[in-house]
Amino acid sequence: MRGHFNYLRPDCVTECLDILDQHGTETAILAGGTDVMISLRTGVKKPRIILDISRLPETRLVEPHGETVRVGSTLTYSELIDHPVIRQEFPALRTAMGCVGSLQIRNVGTLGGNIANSSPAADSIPPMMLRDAEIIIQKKGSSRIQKLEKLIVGAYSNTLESDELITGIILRKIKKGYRESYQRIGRRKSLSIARINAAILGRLNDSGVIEDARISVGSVAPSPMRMTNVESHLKGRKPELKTILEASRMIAQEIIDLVGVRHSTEYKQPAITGLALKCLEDVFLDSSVN
Amino acid sequence: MNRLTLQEDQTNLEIHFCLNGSEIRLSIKPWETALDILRNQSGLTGVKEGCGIGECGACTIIIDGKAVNSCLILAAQLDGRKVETVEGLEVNGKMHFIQQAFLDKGAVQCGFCTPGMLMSAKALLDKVENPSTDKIVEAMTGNLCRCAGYVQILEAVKEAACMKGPVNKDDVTNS
Repeated sequence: MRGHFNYLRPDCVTECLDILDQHGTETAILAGGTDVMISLRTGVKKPRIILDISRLPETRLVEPHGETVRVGSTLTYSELIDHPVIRQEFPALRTAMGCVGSLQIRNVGTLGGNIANSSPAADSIPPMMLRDAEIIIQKKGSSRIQKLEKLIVGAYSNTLESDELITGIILRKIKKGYRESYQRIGRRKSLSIARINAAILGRLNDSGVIEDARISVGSVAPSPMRMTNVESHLKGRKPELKTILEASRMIAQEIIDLVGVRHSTEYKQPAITGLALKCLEDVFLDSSVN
Repeated sequence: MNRLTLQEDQTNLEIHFCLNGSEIRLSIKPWETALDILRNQSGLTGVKEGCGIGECGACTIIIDGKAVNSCLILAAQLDGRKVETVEGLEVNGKMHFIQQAFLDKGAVQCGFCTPGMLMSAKALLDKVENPSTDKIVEAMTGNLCRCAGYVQILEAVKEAACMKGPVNKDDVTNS
């Protein structure tokens, strides 16, 4: 059952960082609360302080700057899904955010929270990885920027220190001619945790050859990961069905090589192949027709 | 509650918010949920606790126009917000048109999920006129009905969407 704690809701980031500086180790940060509230209920988390960051004005903006967009960490999934910049620039991330929980969850859950929770099955992380997402992390008196891939080090594990706060996410825009796709498999459409999820982004050059391919797969390893071998395998090839199917099989094989053969492998191998195939088709086959 | 003054632990917090159209002040414990205080302090037992972990939607309330699970919200987070529960639907003894549609379409069986269903439907219909079936399903998938009356519930929300209009323009809860 929920233990007793103090509730603090500072008006600005500076005040938050002061609190974390003094009390970080005994504080749990609450943004949307969709994960923290469950940890409090089950007793997994027993903080002395709940620090509510959900109303910090500095963390609630979407700001395009040239080739990048800075997204505030406490914007909710619903706010981002409805945001014109997100709609225009980040279609795969938008699809992924639409897969999170239910409308009630998306109305409170935040992108910063998804990163801080570092679930292997987080919907938003694979599509953010493809956009070279960098996380803005502040603490009293200083700040740092870390690549998302480096920030997450394992299942529910990241490099964030107890005095640090995620205030924003920098996402890179893509140039014309790029396409991207997000797919996931869950037990049901809503309120399910992804069993497998993948985001793929790519571009063909003028002669119809794959110029860029970026692949990120989640839920199958301790943390979502880029499949760089398959990415380089695809580059320079024509996106024929045979090539794409081969790449999908390589993705599945590489994951099995990494995590080992398990009781679920018999299901997961063809499921990963199929999911990757769907993404690759979305990105490369449809565009080659256009 | 906004300042860091933690010489000693908090026992009570004062919060102020708008509940079903009336401004109220409550003294709450920092660790209480919105669900706890709405039921236990305000007596609004239409807010149901099903799973307690945000999966069933029985505790759905509307905060600032958005459907949320009150079991996942701290009472302290209600401070300064506009909160609606199922009790706010009926006005002057007249049922809200969404409630009427649920009755008309037989969308209530055991009734435990109904308040949450009504609030999800209201949040949708307050925002979207003539929602598509897909849009209705998207808005309602966070609410489970273990009597499995989903077909009737979907029919009821569609019916309510049709009823919304001239008859209900003066509905105060929609203002």
